[in-house]
Amino acid sequence: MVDDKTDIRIVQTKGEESAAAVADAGNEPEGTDTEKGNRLFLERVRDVPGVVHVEPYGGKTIGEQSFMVYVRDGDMDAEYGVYRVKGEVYDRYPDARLCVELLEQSDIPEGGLGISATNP
Amino acid sequence: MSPPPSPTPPSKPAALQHLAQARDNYRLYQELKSSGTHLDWAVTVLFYTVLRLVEAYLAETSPAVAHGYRTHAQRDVVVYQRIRSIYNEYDFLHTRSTWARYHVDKPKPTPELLQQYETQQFARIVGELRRLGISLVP
Repeated sequence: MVDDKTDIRIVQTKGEESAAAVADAGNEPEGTDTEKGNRLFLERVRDVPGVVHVEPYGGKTIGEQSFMVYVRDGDMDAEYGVYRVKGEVYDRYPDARLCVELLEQSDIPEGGLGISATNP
Repeated sequence: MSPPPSPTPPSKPAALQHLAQARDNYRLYQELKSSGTHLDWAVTVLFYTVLRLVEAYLAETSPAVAHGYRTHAQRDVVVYQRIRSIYNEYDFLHTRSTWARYHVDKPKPTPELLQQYETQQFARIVGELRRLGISLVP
């Protein structure tokens, strides 16, 4: 069932002003394909098994943001899962331009990255 | 049912230029690999060999983009839309190239890892593009 009410989740980066609003449900969101694609990517990639952390960066608005996605070290299924999500975004929003950098859990700096979209 | 027609080699100037650059890159890759040093750059050149092969295919089949794509993000979506069968491997090598260039904390690729990238992801891409008429080997 789809609720008319859109659920908004905020994902913040450490010490940064950037914040991404994630539309979870409801009507087709407004905006460019890149804005909608970035929202969808952020929403979906967190659910990929093996993704341990997602870090938006580089822009104050969702359409300007890039993403660092951290997967478990050496987890090829997780890595290809991230690429699959990118493909799903391109299928739905063909004009989206996603900037995604894939890294591994061991690349997360000591002390962490602050509040973010994180999967245990 | 008749078999699909054999792919014809590229003929458009931009495609031929990209293909020549791909072959040049691959020669450099082989030199770096043989030397056993600068394997981080070998990974990078391996990816840029693939990138040029992809550009050759796109230039041959999409005249509107004969001069290539300006950003990786632009190219990424087109690879997914036009050559989906190599998309995962293309992104995989792009990621390793990015690690080699920008993430100094990451260990440099070993000869074994480099060989693995070549015989798995790279070989798959080269084989698929050959099937589409873009052959790395003259």
